[in-house]
Amino acid sequence: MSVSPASVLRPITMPRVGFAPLVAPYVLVAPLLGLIFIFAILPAALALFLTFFETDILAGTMRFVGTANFARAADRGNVLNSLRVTFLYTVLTVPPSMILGLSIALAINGLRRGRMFWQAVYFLPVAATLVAMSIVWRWMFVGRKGIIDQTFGQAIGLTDWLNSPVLSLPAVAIVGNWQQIGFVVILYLAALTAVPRHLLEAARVDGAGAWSRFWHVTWPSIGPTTVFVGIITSVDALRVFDTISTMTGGGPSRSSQTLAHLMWERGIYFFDIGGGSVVTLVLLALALAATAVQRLLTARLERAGTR
Amino acid sequence: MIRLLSSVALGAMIGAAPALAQTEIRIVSGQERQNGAVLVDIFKRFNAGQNRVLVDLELDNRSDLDTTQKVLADIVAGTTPDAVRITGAVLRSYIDSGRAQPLDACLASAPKLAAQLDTGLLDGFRVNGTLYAMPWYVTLPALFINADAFRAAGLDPESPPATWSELEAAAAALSNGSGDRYGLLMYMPNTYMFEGQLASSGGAMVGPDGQSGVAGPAAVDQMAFMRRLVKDKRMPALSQAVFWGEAARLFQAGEVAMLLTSSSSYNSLTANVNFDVALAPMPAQDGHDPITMASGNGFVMLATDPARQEATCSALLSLITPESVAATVRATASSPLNVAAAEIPELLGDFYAKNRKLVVINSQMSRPWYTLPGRANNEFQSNFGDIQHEILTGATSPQDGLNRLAALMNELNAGQ
Amino acid sequence: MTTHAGETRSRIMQAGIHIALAAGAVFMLLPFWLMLRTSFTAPDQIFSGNVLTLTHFSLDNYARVFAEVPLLRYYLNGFVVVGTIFLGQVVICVPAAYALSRLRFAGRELGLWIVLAAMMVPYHATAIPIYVLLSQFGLINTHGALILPFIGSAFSVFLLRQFFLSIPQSVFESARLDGASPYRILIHIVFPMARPAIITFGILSFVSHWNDYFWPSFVLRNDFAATVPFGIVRFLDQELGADYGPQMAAATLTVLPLLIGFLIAQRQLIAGIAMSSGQVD
Repeated sequence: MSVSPASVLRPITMPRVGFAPLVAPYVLVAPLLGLIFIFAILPAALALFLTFFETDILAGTMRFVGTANFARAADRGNVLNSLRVTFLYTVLTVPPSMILGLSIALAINGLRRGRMFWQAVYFLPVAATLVAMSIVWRWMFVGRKGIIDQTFGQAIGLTDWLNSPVLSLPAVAIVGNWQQIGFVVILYLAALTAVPRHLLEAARVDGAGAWSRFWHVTWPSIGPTTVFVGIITSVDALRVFDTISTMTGGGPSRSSQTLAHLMWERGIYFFDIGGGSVVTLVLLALALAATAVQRLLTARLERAGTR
Repeated sequence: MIRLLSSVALGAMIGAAPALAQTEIRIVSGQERQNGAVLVDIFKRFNAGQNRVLVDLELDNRSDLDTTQKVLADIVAGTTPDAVRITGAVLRSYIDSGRAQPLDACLASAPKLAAQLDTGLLDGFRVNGTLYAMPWYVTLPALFINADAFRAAGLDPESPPATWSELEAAAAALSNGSGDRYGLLMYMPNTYMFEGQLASSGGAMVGPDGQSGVAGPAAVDQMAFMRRLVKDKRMPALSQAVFWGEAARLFQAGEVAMLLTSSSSYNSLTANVNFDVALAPMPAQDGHDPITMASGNGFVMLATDPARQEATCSALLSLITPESVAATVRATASSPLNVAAAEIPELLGDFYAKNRKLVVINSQMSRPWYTLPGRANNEFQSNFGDIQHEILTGATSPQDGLNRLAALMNELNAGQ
Repeated sequence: MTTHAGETRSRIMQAGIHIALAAGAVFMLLPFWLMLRTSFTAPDQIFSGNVLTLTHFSLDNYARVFAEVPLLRYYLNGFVVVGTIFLGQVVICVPAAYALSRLRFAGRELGLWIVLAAMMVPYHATAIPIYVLLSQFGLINTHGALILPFIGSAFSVFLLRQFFLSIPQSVFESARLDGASPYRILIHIVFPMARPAIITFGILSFVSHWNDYFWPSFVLRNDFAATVPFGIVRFLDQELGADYGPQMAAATLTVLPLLIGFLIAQRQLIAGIAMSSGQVD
């Protein structure tokens, strides 16, 4: 920190107002919560409300249908399918991004020269326009003539990914990893520079091997970053839409249809506002659950930080 | 002569109205790549030719379904456009919700123009006898042929396949059997091609009992035929998401030698290729005559205020003058809706002399493309695409898949 | 002797790391090469021959992009929109993040929950109601429609909060004991101290809003407020006959300013992220 708190703390002439400190937090938070209320909570509440109606926007009519939208959603089984796909996508993107991101960060961190260069290379996809890159990737995954099939696809016997109900989701997940690994790398690189040098040196003097040094010194000290990365990548997995919409459209036969895509398909593409709202509800519930998990995981770290 | 008359008619219409303040009307249209440029020209001329109505044209390159989404948002927001360009796929949504305004009176206000229109094509825009869209153009399917590949395989592009067995034989000769080069691509991830083949073979989307006809023997035959082509590596099986980008690429890259698709792709498919392209009518099952589906392209009027309706009407009528129709046909390779346009040498006379194949395409027998009523069509079409892909890849049998589709179609129809 | 052997071994190690990173880099960079290659290839040659090599160099695709869309206007709009979002986020989110992390007040935990939950809601869920709201205020087709929904950014608050938690409470505490009001602390301590974190979320905010495709294409119908990715929409393949060339040229032109900006600001960015992911103490 270049700014020393002492330098800005000239003696305060203004008398302390007893009331102000009590009100201040609310004044500071109010604009943000107001905006979140308008642009997130209110629309989400509207979605809740709409689950009980059949709404025809075109005709401008609304009809109360009770729980019929829920019954239909359960009947078709699409919501369950999308829950499964979303979970699978999370498994296919969060751990690989974290493991690969950490490995690459460790590799770059161990370099004597060229660190900036490799950071830049791995960060490029983070800065790219995803909708355009999805088109390039779709093209790379195209059966037979695409680069994937022409190179390692044939070598490992997995071809025509986007047309396959088994491989379409992994194809999208590969792009998801490609896009976010650079971000994970930079987060971990930042964390690695903060690992106390003297501890590493001490471990080395004690004759600890590379793995032992990593496990006993590096890994514990990058713990908060690991939690942070886990949260960010999970949030992304819950929201993934652009790549799926461009590369697979959720198919073939819903094999890669995540909840976010299902919500769009029912609510917007099929004009079924009620049915789409049911999916929104499921997503909101998941978002709350994820929030709870994150609060539990970080509460301990934060208590440590609030000393 | 006729051009003179129509411009006089238009001029009289404009002159008859008292000098009023200019009415600005908003017209929305998607699919810009297909027809945006010609639409801009038409309304530019319209705006320049009079000072009562100013058309504000909003274009974007989205599918008509996506454009409908935008219009929906506008309706909710209370900023409904005065007119929107639609295709058959979404016309019913506008009609069944009561948003589409009847246009019979509008067309009747320009009797000279009305008399020039092709009544057969016009019928595609009527529902229960009422005209709900100002027709703009109609496209029919055509078989696009890579003529170089044909000759290389010892086939004659001048005598293209007309039946399924000829099609299969040609596809066999054109593909190398290893999945690198295919002979044919004859489906779409919607029912446009499927219904054409179904109708040609004597089937129908809706049976006489009002129930779905998509699981009948003619439909099963068709799916079984296409599955065989895929199995023998004569035809690729493309999933929905990949289809629109890939079908064009496969043909342009020479990896598919015959592509059955809408003739509106004529300009984009014949550009950017380094081989000769030949055109042929849609082939049909052996022993049957082809019946194609006409995909209508027109404008629905959403304005409800009488003054705005009148302004919108005058703008929409400018779409069907012989000049506009000629420009449209040149841009979209579609059938001329205004018969006069084809007869006037300086309009379309030389166009057909240069593109004789299009005459054959545009004289195919056709019917309007069936769409489900209300809001159900998108869901039906999307499920059709999924099920067709499952059948083509062998994941499900033609009969099982089509039974599932028929059940869904009946359920959706009952729900509307 | 041993040091010499150690030196050799270390050199081999270094070379090995470079080779491994280079192998991974092929995976990271291949899509970019395909994008560039396609954008510089003559339209009728894109699908012929080897798709990896550039044999028919042409600027036709770029010429078409410049001819068909007002790209300079898009760039200008992009900077205005992204810049305003960033300023708005600084003004709204920094105080809120400070309050949520370092001030004690009733309802703090609830506020935190709201922020975290809002961060996880996919914004397609709320698109239509927000559209209606914006149009009620006549904001469709304006810069406001691209800016307002993103100023109260839950993600920025999350990031900033992580950062504030990593600063010892004693720093804020001592100021308070000296009698500084919360507002004074905010202006004289929090803002200057948060600079690295502000730079980080600024860059992330810049990247995501500059590249955003869904929202502009949802709320805009004309070029007035259009940002760069909106231009790609024109060349997307909604129907048969995809225009891959101009599409990839447009994509390249979209990414270009970001890449240049990133290369210039790289050191700052990484330093900033280090501060905000809860590591610095």
